[in-house]
Amino acid sequence: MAGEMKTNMSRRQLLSAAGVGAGLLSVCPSVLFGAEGGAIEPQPYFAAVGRAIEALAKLGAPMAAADAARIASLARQNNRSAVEAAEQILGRYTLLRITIEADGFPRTVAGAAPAILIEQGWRIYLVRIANPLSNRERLSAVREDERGSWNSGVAGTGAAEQTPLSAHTNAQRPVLNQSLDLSPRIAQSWLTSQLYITPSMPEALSGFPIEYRVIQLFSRDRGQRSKYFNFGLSTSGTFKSWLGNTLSRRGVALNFDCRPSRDVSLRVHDADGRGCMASLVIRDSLDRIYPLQAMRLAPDMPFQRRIYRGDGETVRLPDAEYTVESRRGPEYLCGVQTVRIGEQQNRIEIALQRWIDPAAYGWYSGDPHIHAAGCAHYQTPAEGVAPETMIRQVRGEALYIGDVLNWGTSYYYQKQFFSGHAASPPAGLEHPELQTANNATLQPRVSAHDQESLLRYDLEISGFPSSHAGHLMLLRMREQDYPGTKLVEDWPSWTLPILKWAKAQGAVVGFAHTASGLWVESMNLPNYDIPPFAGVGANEAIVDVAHGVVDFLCGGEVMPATELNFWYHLLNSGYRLAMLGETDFPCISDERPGVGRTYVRLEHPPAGDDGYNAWIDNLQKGRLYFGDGRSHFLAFTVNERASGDADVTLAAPATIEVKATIAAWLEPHTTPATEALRNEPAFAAVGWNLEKARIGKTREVEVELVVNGEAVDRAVLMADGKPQQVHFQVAITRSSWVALRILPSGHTHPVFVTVDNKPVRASRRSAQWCRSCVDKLWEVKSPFMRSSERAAAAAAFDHARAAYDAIIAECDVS
Amino acid sequence: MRAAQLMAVAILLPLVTRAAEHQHVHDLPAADAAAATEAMIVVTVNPEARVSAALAGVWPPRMACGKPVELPVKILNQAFLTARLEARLVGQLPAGVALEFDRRPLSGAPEELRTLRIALPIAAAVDLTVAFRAPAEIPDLGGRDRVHFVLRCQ
Repeated sequence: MAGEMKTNMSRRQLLSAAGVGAGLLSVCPSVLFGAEGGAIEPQPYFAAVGRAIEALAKLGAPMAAADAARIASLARQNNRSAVEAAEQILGRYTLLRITIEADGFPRTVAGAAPAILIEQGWRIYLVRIANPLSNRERLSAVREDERGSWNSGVAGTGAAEQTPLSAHTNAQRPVLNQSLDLSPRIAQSWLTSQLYITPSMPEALSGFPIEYRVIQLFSRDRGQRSKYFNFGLSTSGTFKSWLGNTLSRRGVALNFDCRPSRDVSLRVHDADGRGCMASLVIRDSLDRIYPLQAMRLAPDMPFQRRIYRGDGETVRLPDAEYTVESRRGPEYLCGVQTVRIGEQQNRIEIALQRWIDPAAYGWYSGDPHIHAAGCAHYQTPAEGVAPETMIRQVRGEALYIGDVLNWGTSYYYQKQFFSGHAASPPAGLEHPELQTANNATLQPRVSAHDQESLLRYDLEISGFPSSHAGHLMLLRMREQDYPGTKLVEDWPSWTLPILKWAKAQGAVVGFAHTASGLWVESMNLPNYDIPPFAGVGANEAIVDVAHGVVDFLCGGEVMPATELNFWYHLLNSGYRLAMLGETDFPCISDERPGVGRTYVRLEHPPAGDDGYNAWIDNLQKGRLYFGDGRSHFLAFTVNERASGDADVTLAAPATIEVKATIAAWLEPHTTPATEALRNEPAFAAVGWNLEKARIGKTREVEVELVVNGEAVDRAVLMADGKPQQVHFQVAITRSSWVALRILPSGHTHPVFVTVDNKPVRASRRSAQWCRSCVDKLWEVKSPFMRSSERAAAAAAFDHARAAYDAIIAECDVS
Repeated sequence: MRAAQLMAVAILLPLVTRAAEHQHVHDLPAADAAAATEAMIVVTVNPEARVSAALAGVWPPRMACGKPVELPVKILNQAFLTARLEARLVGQLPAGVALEFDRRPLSGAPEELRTLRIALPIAAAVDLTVAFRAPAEIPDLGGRDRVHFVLRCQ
């Protein structure tokens, strides 16, 4: 069959070349360029080309750096000769060239890119569209073989229903109409292809004379294979255009060289020599990512360059040389190795190296805020991924605890995974049949370290009627349905009733992404600007603390000063609540879980429900520090008392002793990458990173002693990974809270010091700030409350006002 | 027809804003459906305050050189956001290309209509990228915070 097709195609290629000069155009783009008329306006041309180059990079197959830099330079040149030069570069990446002819039908010829595919893998190429008629219809593929018969069992281009994934959405699961009778059809096809359709590269043509699209191709087989490509235009998916183009026979047959690939086994060992899950980023010599991010299926995520693999598992790679980066979260050094995969070598050895093990000091990591559904990556379909995929991410980042929070977008589907228990599920495959049909020969394996990571499914009140008041995180829930509700829309439209209900069932509760909507002009810490409460930050926490129902706020994300300012004012007013590090993966950061982390002190590693309960109980007690995992407060005492222990009690003002053991890790020398991190804008997705604390070009950072929100002393720490002792003495004149921080990387929970048994009333200005915030909050947020609930809310706000008024009266320090 | 649409936008905008200021938002009716269907851009603020945008309506609009074309923008606000929604031009553009977007903060209502004005100086094709974001909030991580379109004035 294949041989027959090849013979036919060669004949057609000759005919095609004779008819339209395809061969000539392939080797001499400038001729084609001239033939299309010289009036290619450079700005629209380079804008669209830029998006195509971005798409290649995003999908894991970036243009060669020199070519991308040259095109960027040509874009700045911004004239006709620049367009012509860019066309020559792009030609090397172009598999197919389409011209919309005078009768409105597209003709397709071969581009200059070598037609190379990978057995059991995806490749992507550019498709060039010449559109002299300014057509704005939708471009799609005509599914046919070269003899013109329809759907003869050979997969065609762009036929979305024939692919296991939707490139429109980067979905992790097949959409409904793709979940039926799919694998057998794919099994009959040696090639599947699909145009990459996104808002930046839509189906509809822009009307500009030249534009580019990206085509994704998957080959089942190895060796020489051929395929016929043809395209059509339509305004609303009408059949007419497709039929017309089929009859007009203006496609092209390509001969592909499908390079063989093999399953490469992975030995992944932790620093103790035992098997584990790790994060791997695999690139070839052209910086292409493997598996290609295009068309990934869970457990591999299209928005991550990394994949997570355990000891004994495999990755499919064509024979070539690769650079493999391996890591297991920020407590590990990044391992980089070069391997050549071939007949003699089909195994990669990963030996992870830690620079610190906080668990050896009794600190166990967790990320209290990760999602299995929602936000950019699971938009359609909305149900998201299952625990067997999430546990892979948590294990691969060496997190002991991952709290997977169900929320509005996916609430009804993800509810099924809530059990009220912590578990360490197998890292299995959600859709093994699609894995087989797609590209995955991956067979999950159990690793020795697997049981160290726990998942707990809980709730984030986001996408609920009370969300305007801040997103609640309800951890360790026993029941998930608010009494008397059947739908999300039935829930209360403010937070206090929900917090009381959750606390009554033993949950530990707080507010997510504290800084959202709280941005003010001042970046000072502390500052007294009243925030606008315009977003979904810790808004109503300012009221709810006065009712004794807030255990924590969450930070470690964006705008460290904004997060801490809110927390500091509450601490100064005498409210004892924790700040946790969280990621809100993949909404605030899609890099990985554990970008923001919480470390809780325990006697033993957390295991099962008992371990999770111990972790949550100690979190609630304040036995914690948080940060980015690049700095660690391995010990921190004030007069020998650790945070979460009993207060330090002074009968009268006195000098206290602060001792700490701290370790931090920076690369020994600055690099362009480290400098880029330091120069990120203030609103970067990840505001907390030790690199931003580096002092000049040194390897040092500053540790600050914080008393009542003010930095009162400092020490310089060498960030070489070695635990170091830090010692401060400070005079305490009134009841206070004392903490250490490395901004913006890590922060301890405070140790509280009472003087003469008085409560902390550290700052009248802080209490006045809180009091003013209650008024501002009511002004901004009360219109979003249901009429039926507003009276109760008003009373609760009045209670908070009275509480702050009393605190203000008790403060003897401005 | 165009004038009627613009008039509808002008009438509806203050109504929607005022309603959110003085009424219980859960009791608000959705913004006028007829006007919403004429939106050329739809901006969605998801519950996590991530902003994404998509083209709608019939493109390209007719426009005269030197005069701003008015593009109705429908905002689906699922986050009760009351911050200002910003729109900006991205990338290299010819001199004289100008964008103006309503600077008032969002009302927090589930749907609002705003107007985006774009002016081109000369009769040449321009590929425009308009990105939307709420200040101090992270944009859509999937790169869907922006729309792209080619305009040519006459």
